[in-house]
Amino acid sequence: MNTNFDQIYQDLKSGVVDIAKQSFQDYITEAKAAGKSALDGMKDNLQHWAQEVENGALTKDDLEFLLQEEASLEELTALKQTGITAIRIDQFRNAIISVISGTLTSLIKI
Amino acid sequence: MGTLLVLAGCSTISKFDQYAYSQTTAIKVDVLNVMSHATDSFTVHANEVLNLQTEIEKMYEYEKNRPKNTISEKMWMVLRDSTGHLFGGFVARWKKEGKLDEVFVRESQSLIGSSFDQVSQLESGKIKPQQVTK
Repeated sequence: MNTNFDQIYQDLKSGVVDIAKQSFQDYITEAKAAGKSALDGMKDNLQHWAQEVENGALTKDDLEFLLQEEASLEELTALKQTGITAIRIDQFRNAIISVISGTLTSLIKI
Repeated sequence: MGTLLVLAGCSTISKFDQYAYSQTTAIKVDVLNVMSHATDSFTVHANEVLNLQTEIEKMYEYEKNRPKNTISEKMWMVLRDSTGHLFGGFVARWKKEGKLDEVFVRESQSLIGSSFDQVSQLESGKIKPQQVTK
């Protein structure tokens, strides 16, 4: 069997680069949107709660509790993002395995 | 080829689990429902709260024992923590103060509802078992 391994290596490298670009570009876009949405939500809440304290609908204790609730929500959001990063790594690994496996399978006809 | 199969079996985080996802969304609905009664005296709803806390404990134990599931486990820990400020902390405050004001309850429902959404969004984003070998 006359196999051009340099060509196979170049094809695999190009495939891996394409997968990396796609996988992580999507993730960066998602993460930026999630971060902006969280900040916007936090700003809206702070303005709204300040108004409610002024109106007497919320006490200072209520406000303090809500601020801590908001901080806990942010902690969960950060944990979710960490989890999504781990998922992207697994998806990236699976995609690379699929490319290599497909190339090798077609090469050695198993 | 053997190496590839071994690599395909490795993962950083647990796979999607339908039971975990369904239970998270169901518990969220029950939590928001119980919270809406927090303007009443805690003692009137104490049994309801206790039953729901038991469901949350069961869910926490389930998540804790899934392999490579530390992040989801940690999320449930934050949600249930009675010294914290999500559902566990909300219940502790309700119990301590007897009843809570309507505006506070409404605002808390929004934050705690979003907190449960973080857990279910992570679960729904996980790789489905049938996608691993594709």
